[in-house]
Amino acid sequence: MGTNGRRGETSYGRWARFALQCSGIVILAILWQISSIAGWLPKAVAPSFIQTISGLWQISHTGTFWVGTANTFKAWAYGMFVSIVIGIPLGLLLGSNKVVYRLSRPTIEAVRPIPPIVILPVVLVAVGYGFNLSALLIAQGAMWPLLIMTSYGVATVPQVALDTATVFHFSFFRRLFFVRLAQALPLIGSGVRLAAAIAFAVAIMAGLVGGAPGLGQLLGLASQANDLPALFALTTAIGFFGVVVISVFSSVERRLNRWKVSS
Amino acid sequence: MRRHTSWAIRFVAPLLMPVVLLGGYVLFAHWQSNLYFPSLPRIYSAFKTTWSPHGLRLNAWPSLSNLLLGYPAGLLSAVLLGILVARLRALRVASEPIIAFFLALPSVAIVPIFIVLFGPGPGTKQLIIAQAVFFQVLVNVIDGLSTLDPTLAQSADLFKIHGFRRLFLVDLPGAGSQILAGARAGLSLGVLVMIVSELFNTRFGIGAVTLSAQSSFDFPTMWAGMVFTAIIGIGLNGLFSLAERPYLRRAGLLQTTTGA
Repeated sequence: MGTNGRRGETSYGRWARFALQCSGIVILAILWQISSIAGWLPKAVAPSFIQTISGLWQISHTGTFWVGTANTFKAWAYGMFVSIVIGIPLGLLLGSNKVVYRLSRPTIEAVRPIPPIVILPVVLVAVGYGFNLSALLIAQGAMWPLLIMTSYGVATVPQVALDTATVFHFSFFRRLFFVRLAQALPLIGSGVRLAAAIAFAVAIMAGLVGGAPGLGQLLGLASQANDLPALFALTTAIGFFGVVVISVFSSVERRLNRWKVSS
Repeated sequence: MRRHTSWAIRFVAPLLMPVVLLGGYVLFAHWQSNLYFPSLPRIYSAFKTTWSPHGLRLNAWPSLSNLLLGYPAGLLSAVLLGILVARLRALRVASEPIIAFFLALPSVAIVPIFIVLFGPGPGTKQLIIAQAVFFQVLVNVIDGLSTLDPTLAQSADLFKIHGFRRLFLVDLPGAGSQILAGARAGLSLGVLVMIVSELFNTRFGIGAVTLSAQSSFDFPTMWAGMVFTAIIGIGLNGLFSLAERPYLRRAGLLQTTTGA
């Protein structure tokens, strides 16, 4: 009773863990199916688990689904590229100068809690419905975590590292890239992971609200048609894609974390 | 003398960048003379009419009351369920993939299902906000409670602190900073879905008034809505910082006393 095993992770083997996780999913699926058979879920509107899976199977055989997926990820990749190309150098610039960092930080901190949908109306009238809308929104939404994490990582480089660079007469650029940027890499990794997840969410949002081509747009069309099986199937598919994005970038982050120099 | 300059830096410096950005916008709007980017005075007058006391009651109150109900509901249910799941180790491991799925599913994507299932009423919007907050907080409660400092658990065992006393005196404060981080992330997510939920078949609300202004080419009002949304986001985040201060102060005190 006394020690209820706080460090419980070690007590389950790798396979036992996997089996438990699988059984969790299976139990949820069974509960869902039972509750829609028993009529706890409104049968007329909410599809059952099996209906959702078969809907998923059906849409995975349609061209529109894969075109939508391709469009979403095209906008996602484009937005990510732009946000990385702008966000990381800008963060490096803001973080490496103490005065600039002090001046810009309050503003950046204040801007952070503004939801990324705020600029949607003006982007909509400026660039219209389409690929540009979603790419611009994604770039804007993903840039903030990159900017914040990079500038923070660069600004908090240990003084010892900077002094060492001075002693070895590092040039300005070597100092910037091999000391500041290298030290900030783990934080930049977290920034990239956050940015990737936000970018995916914004990509869906741009399609749903702004009608940009992609999975979000398909979702909007299904909801206008009151097509619940398609809606459930699409939402499930979007969740799976989200899991893929997050796990890929978590592993990228872990790789960058190996750089971390213990001080 | 030095004190004067440091005070000046403290209060003037943070305002420097917003002033530069605003100035940049004024110049941009002036040079562009574009319909989409109205001048600051025009936005200001639209802001005053859109968010007059009457306008606030008509459009801000429906949105904010949804947040006011949905956010605490999501927060509380996540904390309660999180405590339960963190306790039961098998349940925690079994629920990991499910929670990971709902965290990875953008909360915006789940809005249409709710709207189609339950209609566009305020109850649906509160539910949408609550579920977005729920998963964000839940994962942090579970993670915070199951990665507590082992020394803390050992000391609690040593002093025979168990049950609810342990939960409220040791476990929850120990996981506090992570739970608060989740609650903060949940708040900004809540504001986002509050706006998004109003873009479907809704007549009143901050998001509704902004989007309808956009589609009727009333760009100053659209900007007034955008500025108001930004203010809500910043303001609520500021309120959250104020609200978490007592906990942080106590946690800080705790650190100094144990460190001494």
